[in-house]
Amino acid sequence: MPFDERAKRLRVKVPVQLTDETGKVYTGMTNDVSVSGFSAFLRCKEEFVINELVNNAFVLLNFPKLEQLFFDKEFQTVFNLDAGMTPQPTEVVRVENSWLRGFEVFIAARFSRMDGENREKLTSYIDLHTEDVDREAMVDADEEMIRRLDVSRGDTIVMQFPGRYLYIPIVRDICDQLAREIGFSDIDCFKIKVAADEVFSNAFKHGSPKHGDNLITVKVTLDRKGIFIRVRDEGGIPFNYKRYRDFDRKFPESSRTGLHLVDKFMDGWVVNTKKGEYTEVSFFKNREASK
Amino acid sequence: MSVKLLFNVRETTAPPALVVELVGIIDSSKCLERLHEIVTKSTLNDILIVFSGVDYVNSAGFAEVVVLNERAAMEHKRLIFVDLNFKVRSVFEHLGGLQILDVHKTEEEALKKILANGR
Repeated sequence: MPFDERAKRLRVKVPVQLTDETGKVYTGMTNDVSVSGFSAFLRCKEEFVINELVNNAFVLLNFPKLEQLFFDKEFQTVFNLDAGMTPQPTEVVRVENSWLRGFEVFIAARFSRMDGENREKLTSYIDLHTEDVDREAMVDADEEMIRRLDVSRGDTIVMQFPGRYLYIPIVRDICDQLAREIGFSDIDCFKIKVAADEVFSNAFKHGSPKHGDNLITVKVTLDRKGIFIRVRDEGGIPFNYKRYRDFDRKFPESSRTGLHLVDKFMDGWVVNTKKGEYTEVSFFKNREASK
Repeated sequence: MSVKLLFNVRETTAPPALVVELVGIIDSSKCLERLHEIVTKSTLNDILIVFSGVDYVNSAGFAEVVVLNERAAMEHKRLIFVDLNFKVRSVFEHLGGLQILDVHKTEEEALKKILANGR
């Protein structure tokens, strides 16, 4: 069976472990897995490998000894996936280019005999994470659109609040009222209110280390297209906001947060941070779709 | 300081359950302090929390609802959340509340379930 050249690339690095018939273990990382095989970089600290590297630094060589470590053997392969698979019989089909990178060797391998249950588990896992590629591309496109939003034509209301808890309900009520005035539906006004609440709360909790001595700036832009809200704090603490993007499957129910609500309720949102100076969360809702 | 949440408490006999009607906003931990007391002091194990009068919940409020539910479970009491309006339900749904909490559409439906379970 030829190696599957159409292997779907996973978005996440997946630890892999191969154990040969003598119990010798090789570990490494792969991000190229299909139901017929995979490729991986494996750690390979054989003495002859270390000696070569010490003497020759980065080289491109054929190593018959290296290939002997992997060819004509059956390995048991385990992936560190949350997929519940059992170890899979595997054959290494090539030690590609036979080159070393810091005690690593690149291999391509195929599964010798994968049963139906494991095949199904791996297929589901690959499908689940392959979708993320398209989804992330969509999210990146949304983000770019938000960054290019033209706010010059609408009315922009600028407000500044000291970093105090008591202003959270005031900010959300103002955003709710403004959304109603430009014709959003009741449910969309509620969603805008919640999003404003969550974002301002975060600015207060995480971006106002001096509390009342810090200012949180809220800019609300209204036009016929919809509402665009920007909340800027003075903390400037970077965080990986993309983790909160529509990845319900990656987040168990117990760990969802207010930013999940922003992601679900708004038509787009983005975060800009200048470390130590400010973090600005921007989000918008289209009025045309509001019923 | 304004009161954000009001509580109306009554009991049912068939099945025996405590019914707590909430009116107002749940947006912080302080909102539910009184409700924690009511649940702890209740001698009845089934407690219905009626949300028909709640018109706003944020993630902080929802987190407190989850804490309340967990504490009740430790006291061997079951909380059943009923009559969530569409908006509040959408918050619960997106924060996973429909999976981790016992939520029913109406008080009647919840009481029927209690009767059917023999408690």
